[in-house]
Amino acid sequence: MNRIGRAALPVACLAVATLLAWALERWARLDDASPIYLLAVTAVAVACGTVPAIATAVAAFFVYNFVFVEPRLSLAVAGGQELLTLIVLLVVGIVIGRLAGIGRDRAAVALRREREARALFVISRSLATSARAEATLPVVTERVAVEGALDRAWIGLGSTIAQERVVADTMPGDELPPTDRHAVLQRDQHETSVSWMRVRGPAAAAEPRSRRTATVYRVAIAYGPEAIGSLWGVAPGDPPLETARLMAVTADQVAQAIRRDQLARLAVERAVAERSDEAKSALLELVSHDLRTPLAAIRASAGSLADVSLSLRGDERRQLAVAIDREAMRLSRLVENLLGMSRLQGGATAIEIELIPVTDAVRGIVERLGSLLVEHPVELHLPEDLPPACADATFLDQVLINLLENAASHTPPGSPVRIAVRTTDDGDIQILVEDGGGGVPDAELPRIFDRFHRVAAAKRRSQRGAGLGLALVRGLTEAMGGTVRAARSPLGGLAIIVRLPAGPVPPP
Amino acid sequence: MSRATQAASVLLVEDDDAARAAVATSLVAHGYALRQAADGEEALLEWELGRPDIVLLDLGLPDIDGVAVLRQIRREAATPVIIISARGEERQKVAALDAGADDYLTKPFGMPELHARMRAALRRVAGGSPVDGMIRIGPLVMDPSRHEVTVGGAELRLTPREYEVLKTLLANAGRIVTRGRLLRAVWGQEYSEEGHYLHVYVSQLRRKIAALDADQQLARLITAEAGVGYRVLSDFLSDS
Repeated sequence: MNRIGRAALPVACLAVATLLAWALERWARLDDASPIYLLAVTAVAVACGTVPAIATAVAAFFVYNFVFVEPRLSLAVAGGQELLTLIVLLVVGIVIGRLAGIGRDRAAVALRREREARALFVISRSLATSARAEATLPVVTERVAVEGALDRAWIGLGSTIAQERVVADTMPGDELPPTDRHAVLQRDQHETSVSWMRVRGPAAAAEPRSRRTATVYRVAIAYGPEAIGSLWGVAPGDPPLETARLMAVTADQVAQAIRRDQLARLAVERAVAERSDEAKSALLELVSHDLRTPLAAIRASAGSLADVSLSLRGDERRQLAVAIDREAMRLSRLVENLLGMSRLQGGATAIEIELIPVTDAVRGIVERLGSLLVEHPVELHLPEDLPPACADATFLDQVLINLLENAASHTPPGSPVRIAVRTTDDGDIQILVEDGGGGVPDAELPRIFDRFHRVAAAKRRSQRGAGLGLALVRGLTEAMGGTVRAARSPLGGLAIIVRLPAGPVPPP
Repeated sequence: MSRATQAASVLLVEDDDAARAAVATSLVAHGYALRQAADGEEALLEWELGRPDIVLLDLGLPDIDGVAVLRQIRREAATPVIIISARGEERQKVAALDAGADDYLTKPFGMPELHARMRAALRRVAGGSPVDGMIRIGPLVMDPSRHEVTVGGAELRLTPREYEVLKTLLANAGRIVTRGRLLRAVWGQEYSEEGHYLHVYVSQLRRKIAALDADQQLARLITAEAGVGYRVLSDFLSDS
C-alpha cells in the first residue's frame, strides 16, 4: 500500500464510524455507539499494522469525545459514565490495534520467509538436479535477483576477483559495473549475524566518492578454504537481512554444486582412462580376429593357386581367385573403417555439409555393393519428392555402406534387407535399414553402437565385427548433426534408424 | 578386347615394386605395350621416350609430386591420365583431377575396374568430336547450337542450370568432372551460395532423363563420386 493510502484509510474508517454512530444514536436511539469505533480500529490494524491502528484508536478517542460526549462539540467530559466509555474505547482500541497489528506483521514475516524458502528451494533444486552446475547458474542469478530485489545479479568463477569469469548474469551483454569498490558480506560460522563490509580497491581509493551511483555487493563462493568465485548483486542500498541470507545460502549451494561437478569430472576422467585401456585390448582382439580371418582365406587360396603339384581346373582356379578378391575387399572395408574411426576421433576429418538427395545416395550405394547384397532380396522404399538432407557426401556414403554391410553380413542368406527413406513428422530425413536376421536382444540394442561391441551370440558364431561399423555409423552421423538408434524390425531382425536434418529445396 | 586398345601403349608409374608387378602382369596379359617407371624422374623420361597412349600415375612418388608429373604431361599432350591414389590423398586426388587428370582409382582396386576405366579413357580420345557438333550417348542427343536435348526423340525440358550441368558433364564424357570445376562451369566463379544445391540439381536432372528413358538405358548415365564430383559414363552401354 502506498503512503497516501496508508494515511487515507484510517481517516476514512473514522469518518464512516462517526457517521454510523451518529445514525445509530439518532434513529436507533442508542445511548452509546462507541464500540463502532472499535470496528474502525480493527480494520485499520488489519490493513495497516500496529502504529496506524494505535493512532486511529487515539483519534477515535478524541473524535468520540468531541462529537458525542456531552457537552457536544467540546473536549470537556461531563459525567462519570461518559468518561468511563471514553477510557474503555481508548484502551480497547489500543489493545485491539496492537494485537491485530502483531498478527499482520507475523503474517508478513511468514510470507517473506515462505518466499525466501521457495527461492532457496528452486535454487538448490536446480543445482542438485542438473548434470552441470554451470548450466543452471543463469536460473540461480535470476532467482536471487528477483527474490532479493536486486537490480542485477551475476556470478563470476575464479580464485580471485581479477581472474573471475562471468558465467551467469541477469543482464547479459550490459557492461558490468566496476567491482573495485564493493561491499562484501561478513558472516560468522552460524550465520547468526551478517553485515556488509566496504572494500575499496587501489583504483577506487583515488576517485571521488560522488561517482558512485549503484552499490555493488559481493558474497564469496568458497568451498572450505578454496575460493571458487563470487555472487555479485547491485542494489541501491544495503540489502536487508533476508536478501543477505538468501545470497549467502545461494553462494554455499553454488560452491557445493561446483565442487560436485569437479569431483564428477575427475571420476569420469579416471573411468575414461581405464576404459581406453579396455578399448585398446578390444581393438587388438578385433584386429586379430577380423584381420586374420580374411587373411587366412587369402593365404589358403593363393597357396593352392601357387602349388604346382595341384592340377586345378580352370573353374577351380577362378573360384580361388574370386575368393581372394572377395576376402581382400572385406579387408579393405575393415581398414577403411579403422582409418575412418581414427580420423573421426582424431578430429582430422574435414566435414563439408551439402544438400544431398538421400534417395540418390542410397541407389548409388546399393548399386556399388551389388555383389555383397546378392544373397539378400533388397527392398527399396525411395519416394521421389523428399527434400534433400544436410549431409557430407562422403560421410553419408560410408554410413550407408556400413549399414548395408552390417545387414548383409549378420543375417543368413535369403533373409530380406529393407531400406526406406522418408521425412519424419518434425521434418527430418529418416533412413531406415532393416534386416530379417536373428536381430539383437533388446538389452543389447542401445549398446550396439559402442566401439568394438559385438553381440555375444555373434561372437560365438565367429561372425565378423559389427563393432566398428556401427560405431562409425554413429560417429559419422553425429558429426553431420544427425542421430542414430536401433530398434527391433518387423522383418524379424535389427532396424537401424538414422535421422538427418533436412535442407531447403533449391530455387528452380 | 576391342581393336582400339589392342596395340595401345601404357606408361605405368608406381613406386611399389609388388603393386607395379601385379598391375604390369595384368596389363601385358591384356595386350598393352607396357612401359614402367618407379619414380617421377623416370616417369617423365619414359613419357618423353615413348609418348604412350595412356598413363597410370601413382600420386605418392618418392621424388616428385605426382601432380607435378601430371602438369608436365598436360603441358605437352592431352593423353589420358588415370590417377592411382591411396587413402588419405583425397586432396591431391582432387588437385590432380582439377589439373586435368581423366579419372582416378583408389587403392586397393580390382583389375576389372582398372581395365574398364582404361578402355573408357582410350575410347574418349579415339571418339573425337563429331563433325555436326551434336553429342550423342545412347538415346540421348544434345544439340548445343540450339540448346536442345532429346531422349529417344522426345524433348528433354531442362532449366538453364540443369542444361549447363548436363552440357558440362557430356562435354567431358568419360572423365570425372570435379565438383569445383562443375560449379565454376555452371555458376561461374561466384558459386559459393548455390554450390550446396549441386547434388539436388543433378538429382532433378537424373529424374527428368529417367522419365523419358523408357528402357532405363540411361539409368547409370551420371554417376556420383562421393566427395569428388560427377562423371558421365560414355561407354556404359557397351560395358554393361
